Amino acid sequence: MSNQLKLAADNHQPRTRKSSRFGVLESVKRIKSSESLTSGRSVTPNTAAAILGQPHTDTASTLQRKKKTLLDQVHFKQSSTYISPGQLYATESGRLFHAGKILIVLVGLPARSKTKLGVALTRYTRWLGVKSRIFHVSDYRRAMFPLIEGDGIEDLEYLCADSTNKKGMAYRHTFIDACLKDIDDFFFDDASSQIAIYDALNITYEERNYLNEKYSKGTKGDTKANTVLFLESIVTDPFLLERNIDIAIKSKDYAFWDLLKAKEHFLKRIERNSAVYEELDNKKEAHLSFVKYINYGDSLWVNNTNHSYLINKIIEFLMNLKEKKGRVYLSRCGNSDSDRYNDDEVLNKEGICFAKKLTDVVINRINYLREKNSIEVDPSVLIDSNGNGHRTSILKTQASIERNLNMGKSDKKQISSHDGADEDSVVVFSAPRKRTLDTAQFFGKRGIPVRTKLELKQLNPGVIADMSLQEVSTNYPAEFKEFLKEPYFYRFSKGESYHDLALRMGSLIFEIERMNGDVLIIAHESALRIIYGYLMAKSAFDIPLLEFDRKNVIEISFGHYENKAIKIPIE
Amino acid sequence: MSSNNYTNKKNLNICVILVGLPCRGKTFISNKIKTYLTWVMINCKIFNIGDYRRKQLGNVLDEFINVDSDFYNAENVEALKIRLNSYEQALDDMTKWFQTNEGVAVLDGTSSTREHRKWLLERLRKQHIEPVFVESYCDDQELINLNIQELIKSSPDKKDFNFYEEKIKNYIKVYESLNQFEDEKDYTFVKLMKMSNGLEQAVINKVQSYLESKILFYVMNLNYLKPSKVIWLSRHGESVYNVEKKIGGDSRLSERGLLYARKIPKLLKEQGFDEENQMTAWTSTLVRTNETAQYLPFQQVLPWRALNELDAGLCDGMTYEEIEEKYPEDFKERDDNKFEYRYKGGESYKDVVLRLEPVMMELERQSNILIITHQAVLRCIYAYFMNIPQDQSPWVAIPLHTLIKLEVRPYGACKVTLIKANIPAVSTYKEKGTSSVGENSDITNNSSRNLLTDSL
Repeated sequence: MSNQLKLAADNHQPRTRKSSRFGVLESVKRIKSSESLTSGRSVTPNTAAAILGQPHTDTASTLQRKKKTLLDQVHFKQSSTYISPGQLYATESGRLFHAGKILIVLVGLPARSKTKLGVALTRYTRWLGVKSRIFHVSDYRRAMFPLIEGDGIEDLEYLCADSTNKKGMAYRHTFIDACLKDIDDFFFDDASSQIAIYDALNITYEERNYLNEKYSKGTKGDTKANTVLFLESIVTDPFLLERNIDIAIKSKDYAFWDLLKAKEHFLKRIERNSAVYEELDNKKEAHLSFVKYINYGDSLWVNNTNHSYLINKIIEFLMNLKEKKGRVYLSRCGNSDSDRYNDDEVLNKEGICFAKKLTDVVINRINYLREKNSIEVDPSVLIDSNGNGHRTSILKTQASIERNLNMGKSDKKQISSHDGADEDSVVVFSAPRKRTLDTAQFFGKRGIPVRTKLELKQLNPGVIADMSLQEVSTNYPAEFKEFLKEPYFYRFSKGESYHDLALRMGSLIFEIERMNGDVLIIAHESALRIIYGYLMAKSAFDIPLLEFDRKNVIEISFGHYENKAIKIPIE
Repeated sequence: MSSNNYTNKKNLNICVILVGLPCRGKTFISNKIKTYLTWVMINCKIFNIGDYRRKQLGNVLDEFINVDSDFYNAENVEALKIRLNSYEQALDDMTKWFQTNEGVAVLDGTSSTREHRKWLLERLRKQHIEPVFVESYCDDQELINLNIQELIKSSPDKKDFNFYEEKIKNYIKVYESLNQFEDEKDYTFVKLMKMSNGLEQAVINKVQSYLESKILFYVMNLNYLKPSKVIWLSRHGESVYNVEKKIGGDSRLSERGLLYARKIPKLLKEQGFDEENQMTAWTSTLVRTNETAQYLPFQQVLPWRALNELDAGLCDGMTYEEIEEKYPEDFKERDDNKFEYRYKGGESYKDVVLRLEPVMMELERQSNILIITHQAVLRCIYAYFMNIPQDQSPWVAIPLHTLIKLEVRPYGACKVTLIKANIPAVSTYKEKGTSSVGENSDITNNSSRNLLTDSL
């Protein structure tokens, strides 16, 4: 059997194409960088057991690592050997989908979720395996001219993109040029760099024209991008705007400011820029490739973007990206008696107990957060008759109050009741196994919909299912060695690799991005790793090593600059 | 006790409603949506208003068979009634269809007024069907004229150019485009615009579910309203493994395979291909397709990993006899359900279809493409263009050393031409229930085998 496996492996040897008569530089080789996956850190027998989903003990070192894993790595610089979870293949140039280099220019007034949009795109394109990086011009500005409370009014000179203000523009250009220089270096230094996202105002025709001239029409090898895509974020919804302003005045810009003064200053910034703001023009700028992204995905206007698969993939992602309220919770299922892959068991007593606790913890947490944010608490939510203080069901949010008000009005949008339709929604996604569905059952009893998601099916271990680590290394020594080299990509006979799993979960990731409200995902550790890996921008090396115990449920909230993950203990 | 008691299954029925003036490629888009959804195994049915109208006129009002363009005049009350009636009947049939099916219905009509769309929306929502509008807007007269000429060739209405021009004029009087009215701003829609300056724009509004976004994204990738285009398909030349009757692997071409590789440019030339023509070849990343493409005089040869042969896993490099001997149960299982059977440690046809999705999306946007790939992959691609049901597609015989010319036309089915290179090669076709290969035998228990040759 091992011979056949070897044969199969031989077929995937890196293959490069030397002939130049094809006129194509992007020859393809298999992702094979065992060096990068093992360098520095190695897979120990204990971690191997965890990756394979077998019993293992927690060690001090894994706990240390856990702390690090709670960081969102979307702003980490990718090394040249970085490998992404959803990457389909590697090319010699490193650039994927035959799409060339792309500069994405964000456009919009302050408080228009530009940063959030850029970060989400970075996360997704990295997951696809594209080497991308976001450049926040505000980081450069802060480093040169930090805002200080009191003398803040003068700062408005360079915080505004008014080209008639010569002095302000001179200041502006010092940090803008520093940022653009880094973008040039990013494209130039590393041949595999593909997408740079430029996060700045870019609200005048002149600025955009300059960027388009500077970066488009480039050829491979120079610092120019092959495609420049403008992405304009327009927010007309007053609620969204108000909330964005709230976030902005608590951001790094106003770190040591009095909130009221910060708000006053920030509003002036918006006002000054509004005066010079020129929206992307459907006629005058029709030659540009652009997307107008209105009210965070409510509506999109797409102009002249039919360039490549990758650009289209970005637009598809934007179609699915929504202003998110609510959080994602991740939990494993409770214990079953033998906890084997091949048996589809129900939970044992201990497992049922876990399921009950999990239900209480998650519902209480959601209610706690809703109570904290809501304007009006729905009195219809009863206190548990046992008197333990737990609410029996989920609190309604502002969204449901509005929905009830608008019900039956023909001029108002009727919110359908599908999962994630608004922030009121709470839904449990369960893997299609008895033990996960059993874990979800108490949510069902409390009126929370439980959906079976085939995509959440755990990693199929293939021939090594339910073997101990000892048995694996004895029965499949050669394969085990290969696996230790590439735990993310290695596929045991008849089984799946983590990479296979990530690809089959791709549509679920879009679905989670689309959803509003809270979602709890109950699944096997392997499936949780992929979702967590996407939301927190983990590399292919980290993903198999992530650990989820039964003592905590993970809560992930969506931030503008980065996502946040915390552990909530299940006592 | 079954845990499923706590699982509520919810079906979302979607109806895609086409919107736009006549001759804007609506029927083409409808057919493409059906092709795509069927290919990715989502149930889809088209309800064509034109068909319902023809049925009514044929059965009831004989004097109307010679419909003139005035039939589409909004002031022609009698005709308007007939047209509304067509919608009523289509919606009734759709409701019936949704009672036993879940999936996507496509309503192929003009739905060109705001009032009419509101009426449709209310009717559908009452039946728990969610409407999604797809508008095709075009003010490029040249494109429209081209499209009318294509339509004249294939429409069952048998009319001349003048008729369509008049018909369009009648519609323009009442036409109200999406995305300009307050009361439609909450509709889920995509409005595709082709401007006279050659630019393309699209507005996407209020997409609610993942399935909707999938459909709308696909539609945005379509190169509709374009004259027919040609796609060339070929298997790689005969490989060493082919000769040894082994499957999979990554062997080089045989002598005869190399002869075929040398002959492809000549075959293309005979078909009127000129070198000025900007053509691109797509290959897999395996040696045998790269070798087959090596003599092409093209600007670009792009290798796609997604075009690699179906991964036979443990069976890779074995002959069918060896597989039958070693894994008799698997061998039988595969013959019983070839589309879904996944080789041990390998792939099924279904897996291949899913990984081909990006390639097909790109293929919709491109023209002048020659794809050199493998038997199983070609079967999946061929099934897409020829609407072959997925349970039959794995059985289509695709011979070696043959160029397949696919003419994709805006109306009607694709036209297929087989260009034989007349270089002998082994046959790799495996009949159901046997482990020997060869398609030369006339006796076949499999009607799918000759789908390619029968389509000529």
